[in-house]
Amino acid sequence: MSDGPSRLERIAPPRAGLFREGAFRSPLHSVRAAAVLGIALGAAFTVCFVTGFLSHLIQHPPSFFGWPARPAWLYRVTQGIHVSTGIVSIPLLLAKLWTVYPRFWTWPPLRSVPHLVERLALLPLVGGSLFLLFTGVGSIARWFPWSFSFPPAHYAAAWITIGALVVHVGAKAAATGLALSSRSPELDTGPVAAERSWGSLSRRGFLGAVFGGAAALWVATVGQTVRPLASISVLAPRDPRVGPQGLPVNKTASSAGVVHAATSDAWRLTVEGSVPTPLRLSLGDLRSMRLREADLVIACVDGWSATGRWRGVPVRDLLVLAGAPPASAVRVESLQRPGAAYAASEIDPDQLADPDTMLAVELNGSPLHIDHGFPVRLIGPNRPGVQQTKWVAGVVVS
Amino acid sequence: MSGVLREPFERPSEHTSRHGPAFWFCLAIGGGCMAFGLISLFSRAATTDPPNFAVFFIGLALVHDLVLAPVLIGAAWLLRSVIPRGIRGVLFGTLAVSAVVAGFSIPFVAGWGIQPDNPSFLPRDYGFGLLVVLACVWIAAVVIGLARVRARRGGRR
Repeated sequence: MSDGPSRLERIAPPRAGLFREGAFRSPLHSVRAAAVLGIALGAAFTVCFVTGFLSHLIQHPPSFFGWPARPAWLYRVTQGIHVSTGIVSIPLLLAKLWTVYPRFWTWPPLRSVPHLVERLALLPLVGGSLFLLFTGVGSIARWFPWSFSFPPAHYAAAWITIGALVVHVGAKAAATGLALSSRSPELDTGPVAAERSWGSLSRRGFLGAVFGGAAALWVATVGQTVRPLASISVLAPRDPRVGPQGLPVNKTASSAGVVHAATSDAWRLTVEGSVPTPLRLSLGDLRSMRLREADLVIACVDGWSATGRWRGVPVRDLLVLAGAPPASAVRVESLQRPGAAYAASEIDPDQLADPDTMLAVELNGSPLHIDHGFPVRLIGPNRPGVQQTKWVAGVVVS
Repeated sequence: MSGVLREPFERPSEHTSRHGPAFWFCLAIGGGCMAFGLISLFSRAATTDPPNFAVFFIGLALVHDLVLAPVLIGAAWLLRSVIPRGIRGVLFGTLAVSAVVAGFSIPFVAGWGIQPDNPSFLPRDYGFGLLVVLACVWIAAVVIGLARVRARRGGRR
């Protein structure tokens, strides 16, 4: 580790323009500011990655993975954290990029093979970070100015970005620790000088603005899942109090193309597959059965959630009626066109055993609104909203 | 002069990067994650549309590095000459926060994703909501600015 110029530096042309030494004089480009923001952003991205990967596992469970029915609020919390942490990451990321921007123009651009590798990993880190936050915001705003499908693209980008972040941490961990623990004036000569000179944005002022901006965005949006804050979250794309029967809707019956089939007198619920007594039940049949009532959450992958009081028939009671063997695999199918997104869902054995996993016929004391899944919808504890299948037509046992 | 103002980032590698065993270990782990992401991307190419994915993945980075950041630097440079030094710091910080909040709220205010048959989506007046948040940000900025003025006057006594 020599302080002298490298061979590349000796043969590099003279620095000019943005490559010129001292081109970036703002006191905000210090190692200390970069370290603080890097730690905050690294923590935020790690939280987003873990909660996002969990959501992926729940929706696409490998054979070894089981998602419990309890606690009933768990997915609401993990997905709420995923989206709200992503939102507060926006000012953190932009500030971090601003702080390290001079490094984009570092001269010479390459100093060694490891330096080349480290710089190459910056493209997936910067591009991936911007991609994840841009597409994430677009998704919760239901604005899709791209042609790829959001979930698999967001998932692939998350792995690329977290990988690039791990590489970056490997290169910067020592310097970050040093920056936060050392009093070396070399690490923030600029900022210290600036903080003494009243009138420009100091490092502390800069970090205060960044975290203040993050807090403002959090308060302005988190009410879509934290109900007490709903009235002050003026930029939240959902209000958990607003919608038919006091609950928001993600997909309407008309957009799903099920209005006619769902309101037809010919509608029947079928329970079939590997059962000795297949069932074919009308809505009246279901209403005449022993109904269960429970307060359960619709927790959307978009980060909003809302609680309703649901009444319905426990799925396990229907299986008993059909004579299904214990620990059966169960698939709930909607009236939607087969193959349409989220037209069916599987019920995990642990969820199936829970009496609150039910086919609901009422919400908040009245029959289901058609946009909430009339005549019958699946509702269960600790399930993503996309797995709370609406307009149920059949239960298939295997 | 340059000795005082020279930023550590001006001589990057030795100061801020370490390429010891920990770096190569993290490179192996991170490289594996990136490879998995690329496999995931290309194995589902029918839905992930890799060319369009690349346009946004690389394009956003280029737009930031070659457009957004230089424009902001230029704007800050121009503003420096017209804004009194006493309020420059608070004003720059407030403008930056305001820009980020406004940028975030664009798709909501514009209602690009609005669903006419679903009034429970985007149920608020987001233009008004944005004004409310910006008002809160600027009120906080004024309070902080006044506190700094008081502190400065107190320090002079």
